[in-house]
Amino acid sequence: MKTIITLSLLSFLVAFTGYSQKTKVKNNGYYGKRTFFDLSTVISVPLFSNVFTDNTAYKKSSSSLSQGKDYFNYGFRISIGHASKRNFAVLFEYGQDYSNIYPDNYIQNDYSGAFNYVYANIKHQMMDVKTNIFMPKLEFATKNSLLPMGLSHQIGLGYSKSKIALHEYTYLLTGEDENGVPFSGGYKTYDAKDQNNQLFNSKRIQPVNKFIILYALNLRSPISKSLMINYGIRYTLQFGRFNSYANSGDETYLDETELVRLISRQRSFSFMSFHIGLTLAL
Amino acid sequence: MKKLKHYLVLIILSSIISKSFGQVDFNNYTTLLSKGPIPEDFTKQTFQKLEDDLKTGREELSQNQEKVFFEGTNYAIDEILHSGFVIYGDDITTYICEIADKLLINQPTLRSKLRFYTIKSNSANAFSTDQGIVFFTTGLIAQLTSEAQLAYILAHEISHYTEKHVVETFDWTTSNYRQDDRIERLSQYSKEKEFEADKLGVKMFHDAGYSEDEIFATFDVLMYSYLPFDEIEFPTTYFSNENIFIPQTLFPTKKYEIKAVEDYDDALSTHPNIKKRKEAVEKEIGGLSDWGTSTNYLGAERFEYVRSLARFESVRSDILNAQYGDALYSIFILEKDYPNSIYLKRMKAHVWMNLMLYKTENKSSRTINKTTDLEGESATLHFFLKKLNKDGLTTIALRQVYQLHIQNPDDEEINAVYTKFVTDLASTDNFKIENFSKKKFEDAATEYIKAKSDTLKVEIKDTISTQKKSKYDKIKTKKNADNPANFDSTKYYLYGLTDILADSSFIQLFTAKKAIYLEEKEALDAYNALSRTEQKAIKKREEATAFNLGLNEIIVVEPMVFSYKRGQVNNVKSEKLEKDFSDAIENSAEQVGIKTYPIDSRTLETKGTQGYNERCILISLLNQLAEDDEVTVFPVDYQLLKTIRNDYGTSKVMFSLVEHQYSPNINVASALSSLIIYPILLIYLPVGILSGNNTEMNVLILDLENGEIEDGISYYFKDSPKKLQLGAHMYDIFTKLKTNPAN
Repeated sequence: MKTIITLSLLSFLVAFTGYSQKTKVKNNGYYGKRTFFDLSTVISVPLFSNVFTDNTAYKKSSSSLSQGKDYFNYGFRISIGHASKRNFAVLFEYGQDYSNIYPDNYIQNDYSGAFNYVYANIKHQMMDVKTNIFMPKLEFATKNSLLPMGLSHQIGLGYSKSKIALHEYTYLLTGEDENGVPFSGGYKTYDAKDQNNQLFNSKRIQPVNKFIILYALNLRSPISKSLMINYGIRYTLQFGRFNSYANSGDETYLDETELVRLISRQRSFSFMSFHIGLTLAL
Repeated sequence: MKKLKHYLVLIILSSIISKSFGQVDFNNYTTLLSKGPIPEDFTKQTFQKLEDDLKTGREELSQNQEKVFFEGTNYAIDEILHSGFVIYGDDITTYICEIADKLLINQPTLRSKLRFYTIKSNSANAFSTDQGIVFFTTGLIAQLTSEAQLAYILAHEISHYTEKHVVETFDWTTSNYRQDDRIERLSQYSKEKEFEADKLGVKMFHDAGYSEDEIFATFDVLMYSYLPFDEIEFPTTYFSNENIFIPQTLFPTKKYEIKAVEDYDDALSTHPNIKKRKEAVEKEIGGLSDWGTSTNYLGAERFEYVRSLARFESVRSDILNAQYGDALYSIFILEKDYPNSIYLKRMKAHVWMNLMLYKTENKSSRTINKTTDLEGESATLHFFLKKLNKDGLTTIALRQVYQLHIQNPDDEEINAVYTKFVTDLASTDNFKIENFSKKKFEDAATEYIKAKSDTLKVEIKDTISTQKKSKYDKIKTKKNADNPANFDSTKYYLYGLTDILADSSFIQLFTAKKAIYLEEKEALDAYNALSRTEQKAIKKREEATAFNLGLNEIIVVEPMVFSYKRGQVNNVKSEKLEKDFSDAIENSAEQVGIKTYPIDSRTLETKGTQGYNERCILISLLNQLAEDDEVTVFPVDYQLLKTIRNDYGTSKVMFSLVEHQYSPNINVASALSSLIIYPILLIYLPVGILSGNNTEMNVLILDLENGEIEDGISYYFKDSPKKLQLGAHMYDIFTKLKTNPAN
């Protein structure tokens, strides 16, 4: 009987498809709330960065370094959005990503200034990269959705600014310096903020700016009448020219141009990430 | 003195008995409703029943079988119990219970385990369940000729229960599902169970003291139960009167014989054929002595009363199921015993009204028996209804409804049917009153004959007048039914409305309704003439106010949820979701500020029988409307709907349904092929998994004022149907419903 009733009810509604079309006009939102804040954690596994690199990653282990991997990167996103229609919302997102680059495992010392170079090995702690992201986004859903709730597709075009985090790093040099003197002293720690350090000149490490195109599949699942869990997957395409530097000024052990290239490469390889967080509907 | 006392007791008893069954006035009949305290079978939730059964267990079944068996049976039984067609405590069910008391007078423990309910259905059937519930249909009771026949069927069903046939058959089917000849063997197995129930039923029947002859009569009842409940010749003059002539050519020239035979092929049937059953019980009967002689222990009058109830219900069931040919034939039979029944008159008005609507939509064949199914006396009526063309049927329907309206001017229901009839008639382009003659058929025919007899005179006259007439006048002359030269006996219906067309109140009503229709039509034509952009703008304005009814209160019938797993309904999950959905509706309505009156099987414990009856009436309305979404029929329970409307102070009712299935959109072949391009897999899999929820929510608002659909809405969303999700959608719907259309 239940089936009969159901089928009958459905058959009715076939005749009422016209009504279903009407629903997309006005959005009463999620329990009347159409403005919302998303706060999410973004997690990505830098598979490609790990696979396509010749450099070995080193992690700090007490006062020395141990070989390791950059298993996952993370970040956060804060968005404010407004669902003007049942199936359409506009958002503005700000976020930060925290990732790492593996500096080169060797350095090239100018020997006697006569186009003769001496290679030496360097184990350098993975360097932290902080990326600021600004992005307006558009959110779309199927016609009968009730944004901000439910499954939605997001597209965005944004701007990112990545910089090496300037704090203390540990390294180990082996081999000889440009004067042919073997390196000694074991593991050393330096403060990247100090522009007189020998490893690199932080002034010459300019931010890596990129444009980002985003597609995300997002699901907001209610946990109360004003709070939702949001989760999903996001794909980004980052493009933009990375800055190159004239090799001038004080000689440093790490090549700043290479560091910028590594940041740029790392960002380009971060094309897929997961996010999970909370949405507050107001 | 002792004799006098005995006599007084008899008088008191007989008066109590007559009072206990003589409560329904067939002249002012309304459909049977449940009475008394609501049984636990209706109030207990299915999952609770399932849990209880699993605790008790069944020794015949393994643990896995138990789960499947109890889940299957409990949900199937509850589907019937909550279908809106089952009644308890009414006069039919009480009668069945009393016969059961008689049969089981020496088995009080068994009697205490059994519950009996009546299903309002015209399918002649009775069946028992493993849980001890025995169902009887009104269709079966309408066919019986004695109490003893009902007692034998009851004894048969009780034997199925005592012998645990349901669980045994389940065990057999689950243990023999791989055999090639499974269907034949299952049929054989099932027939053995039927023979056993027949055999044990005979013993129980005998012990109660009933007459053996009634057993054979019972099998005859079963054999012919597909026919109407009586075989009375339908006169071909039934619809003719001084105002309308019905040609005899519309009726069959032969009788349609009844085809049923006792010895049909039962190779794949669940039940043995009648011949075999009769032969088998004959042996049993022969083996028993001291047969009783009673056919009606509870009295012949009581039996006839109960049967009449069932027969009145059969009219309602036929109308609910749009079986208008059958309904008319049943009314025809019942009119003989109850000529003054206003209920039968109302139902007749319903039938003709609905027949006209179905005919207008070219769907009337669905409501009348097929030519191949014509059998017995009712075939005359079905044949006639089939033979009527659209104009003929509309005319006869109008005549019938008009006549009922004139004969019963104070009956609100008949007047409502009449008004709807005239409104619908005025809302078509086919029915034009100017096409109808002002002369009766006989008068027009006489004039025609007279005119024909003086052909020359007519020809000369025509030649002269034709020369003077314009092309358009000539066409009008040809179309004018009052012109003797245009008389056509096959268009008998054109002469069948003379009295109605002379009735100023009809003309006034028709003209007023026609004016509204023409106005709407004009508006539609003007809309169609607009450019696409203009149409879009108008549509947008209309869409903005869709579902805005300005409601502050609404009756909410329990929502239904179907959650599917691998194409099958997951009953346990569905039931839990139904509860969530129900709560979500209530919460959202409260938040928006709409007062809801829930009519829900979950609240029956507190609402009791009144709540149950209201639920049944509303579900019946939904079923009636669902027969065809293009034909808006008149609600069969008009009076009861009015009561509900008055009791709650609102005429708006909400029905809702949610269907959900999680089916990730992942194709194995595509997934494997995307492995070749690794990043594609990274997109393909998560998107497929995340978008796997498919939920459809449908909400209908009915207006009890006219039994029509006020508005409907359908949502499809890719999300799970959890309480808050559903609540958010309901909030949206209630917000719209609360908004005043004028805003």
